[in-house]
Amino acid sequence: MKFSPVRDTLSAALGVAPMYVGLPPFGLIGTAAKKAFIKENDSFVKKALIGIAAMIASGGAGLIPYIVAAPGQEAQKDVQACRTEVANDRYGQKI
Amino acid sequence: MPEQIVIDAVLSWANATDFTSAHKAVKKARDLLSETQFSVLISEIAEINVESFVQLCMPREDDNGEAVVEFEGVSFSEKQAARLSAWLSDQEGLGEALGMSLDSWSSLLTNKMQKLVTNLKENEGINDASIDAAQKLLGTSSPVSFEPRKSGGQGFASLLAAKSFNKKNK
Repeated sequence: MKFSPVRDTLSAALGVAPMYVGLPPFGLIGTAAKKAFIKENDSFVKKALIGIAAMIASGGAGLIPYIVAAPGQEAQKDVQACRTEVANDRYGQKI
Repeated sequence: MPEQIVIDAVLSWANATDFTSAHKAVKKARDLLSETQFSVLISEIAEINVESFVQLCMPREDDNGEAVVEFEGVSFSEKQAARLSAWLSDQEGLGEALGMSLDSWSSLLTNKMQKLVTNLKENEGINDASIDAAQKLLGTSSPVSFEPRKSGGQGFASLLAAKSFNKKNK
């Protein structure tokens, strides 16, 4: 990933911001999760489950640069397309 | 299976072309459905929404070759991160359209995520310590190695709080 002064500065600032409002630094939670639960030979699905759960538990700290950025149109379309697919699969509708 | 009128309302939301139209579809459903039907609608949308979240986390073929973000032991591409950011950006408006506070909506999402993880364990053959770990991380109990959270919510609440926090500081 290329260096971005604005994004990376915000990332660094927001990374420690939780400490000022009484929360633990989120990155430590992720490190603990990685050490405790993830082994090198786990499949991606297993890793992803831990990654997703840890992301939720940690407030998405690792994704803060992207959370700060406004989502693009393409990403919004991806979300809508995904929902359409999940919903139609759920009710057996033709897409 | 929900009543057809509820399914139609869910599909109106899911098939909308953008977030704004999707929120309008939900608000329209609030006027059309009974209280009981609308509570089913909320549950259905939450489950579909959480399943979408997981699918958006998964890598896609056209994500390959990009620079990645290393996050909690899993590599995310920039496109994956952008998809998750877009999903997050919709939650406040969607919760509002459903007539729920952000806290209530995020709590429901966390419960549905728990249910989805349990379903993976029981029905999809993913049955090992990783599922238990994911369930613990999602908020019902804390792994021994974790420091207890003093505030800031659990589960999706913390993720959505991060989004709100960042928005206020733009």
